[in-house]
Amino acid sequence: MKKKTKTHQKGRQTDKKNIKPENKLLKIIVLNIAMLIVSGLILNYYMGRTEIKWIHTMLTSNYKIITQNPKATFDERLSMKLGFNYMYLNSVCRNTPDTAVILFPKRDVFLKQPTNFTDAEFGRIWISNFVYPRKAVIDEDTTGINRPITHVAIVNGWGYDKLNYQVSGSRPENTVLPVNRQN
Amino acid sequence: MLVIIGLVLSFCLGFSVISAISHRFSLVGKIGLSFIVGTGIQTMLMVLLDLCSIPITVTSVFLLSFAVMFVSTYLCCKKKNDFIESLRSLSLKNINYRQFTVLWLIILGILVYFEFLNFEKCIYFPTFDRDSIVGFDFMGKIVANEHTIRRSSYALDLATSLNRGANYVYYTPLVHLSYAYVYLLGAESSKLINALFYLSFIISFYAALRNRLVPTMAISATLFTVLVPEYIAFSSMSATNAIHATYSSLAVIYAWLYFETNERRYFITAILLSMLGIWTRQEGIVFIAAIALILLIKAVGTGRFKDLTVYFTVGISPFIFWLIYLKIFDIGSQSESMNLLPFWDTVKAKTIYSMLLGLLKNTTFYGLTFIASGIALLISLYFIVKSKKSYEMPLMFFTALLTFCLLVYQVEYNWDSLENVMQYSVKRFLFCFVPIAWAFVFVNPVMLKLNDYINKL
Repeated sequence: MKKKTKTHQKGRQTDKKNIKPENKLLKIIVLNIAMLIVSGLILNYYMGRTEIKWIHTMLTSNYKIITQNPKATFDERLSMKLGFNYMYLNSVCRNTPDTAVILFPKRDVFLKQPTNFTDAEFGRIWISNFVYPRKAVIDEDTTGINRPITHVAIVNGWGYDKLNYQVSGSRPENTVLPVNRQN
Repeated sequence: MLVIIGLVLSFCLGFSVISAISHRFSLVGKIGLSFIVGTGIQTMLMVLLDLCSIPITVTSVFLLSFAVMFVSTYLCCKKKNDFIESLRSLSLKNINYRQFTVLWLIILGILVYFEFLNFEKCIYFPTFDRDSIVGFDFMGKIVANEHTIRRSSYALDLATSLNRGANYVYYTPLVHLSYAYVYLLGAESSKLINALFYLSFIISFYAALRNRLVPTMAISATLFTVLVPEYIAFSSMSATNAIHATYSSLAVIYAWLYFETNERRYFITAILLSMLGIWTRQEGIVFIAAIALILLIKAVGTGRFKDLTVYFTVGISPFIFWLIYLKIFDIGSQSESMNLLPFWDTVKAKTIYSMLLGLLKNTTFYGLTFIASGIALLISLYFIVKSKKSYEMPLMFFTALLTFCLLVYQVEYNWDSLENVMQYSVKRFLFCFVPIAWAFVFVNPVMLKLNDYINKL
């Protein structure tokens, strides 16, 4: 029995040695072709699915924006996503010192029609991110604020009554003004 | 320039740590894991600096990173023979070109195409998603600006004065500290971190599967994982979910590799990734529970509980550390409270069950991920029952999912509804299961037989 097994094993080893390189190459070519056909069918079905098409459209449309505006600045790129919301908060930053404590209105004032602002959270933390290191305070909610308000964010005409002085002349709809008149 | 130097340092740190674990990891595997491990360790070092009241600055983070890199490189060089052997294995002569098929090349092309578009999108647009604006990205900015976590008056003011949204301060800090790191280096946006994490994930996932699968099957699994709509869309956003999915799913896959091969290097890597997973989000505990369960089953069989003890103790340590950290520095408690005692609420259980089932079947979000893995499980069930092997991956999947459902069930929702949590948070948490599900589609007993057949050719 043992002898038989040994002979059998020996035979198999000889078979392995006898496989010609051409046969191996043939096997690899057949394997490649078989894989291509099977996977081609799977991929063709998978890539045609709605959700995969959605991924492709989402990525290519974003890439189109990138190629159209390759040299856009950080502010321009963020404005593309957040629109007027970011442009306004950025202008608040540019027109106030780092130490400013700015009073903002509640969310509904931002979204009161007609408005240039688009729907967003407009909560204290949300605004704080864009005006940091300045401090944001929301109207009627001054929790945790231990410094006096230095500026008022004028939003859709709101906020002029929060200033300690009268604004004469033009009254921009959206701007930022110091709470006390500056000489 | 400093940004590039800093990111290269993160990469080198991770590379040295992975090499110290073992020289036997493939070069692709090391490259894939380097950045995610390096960045994760750096965030731990930042907390250490803060604990010692040392300001978190570029210099302090760099110096500490170099120190860890020095130690791991020393450990690496100590295994001299392994090191030389690993260098030899990098030779092009050792690559078995026969295993790389035309299909592999085509899929690689598709992968590169999609990832290129995704990478570009990610780094081009700065952070704009709500969760990052009010949370992780903002915390990163604050830490970078104030050089501290627990002593930041700004962060604590936000945390104590507001309920909604403020709970981000209590999150385990990997994500926001990694953002803080790039802000410290002078980056305009933190999105570079997200872009590099997802790229590293793709490479690591392929390399991890490549340890058991032929290249074509490994890259096919990678392609299917990448082409998951909701996952790829979120991979280019600043939220924590994609980063958490990277760590947790890879931890499960490396644990599976350990169960398959019994090689220590996989076990250590699984521990490290589990630690970083829980350092990203506390919910990472469900994957630790899943891996620990398999270790427990193995330990009961062999009577050796060392692996289980080591894994559970070390894996969960960042979570325990963070809880103590919050307690010591009195950084409040979360706005949602956890009910520690068991209770029964039929309506809640039914809502979780039906909404979870709806999510798993939703092809708009996850493509065919969970349907394909369900079919794979059904097909391989006979082999699993017959051989009592290969049960690890599906068992880890279901244990993690059930444990997570239990967590969702036990939470008392004060300011948010259960429906909202299921619709948004759970939907994104399922990203962690996507790579595991696709890995199982390709490493189930039936596919492994096919893999071994191709391998023999």
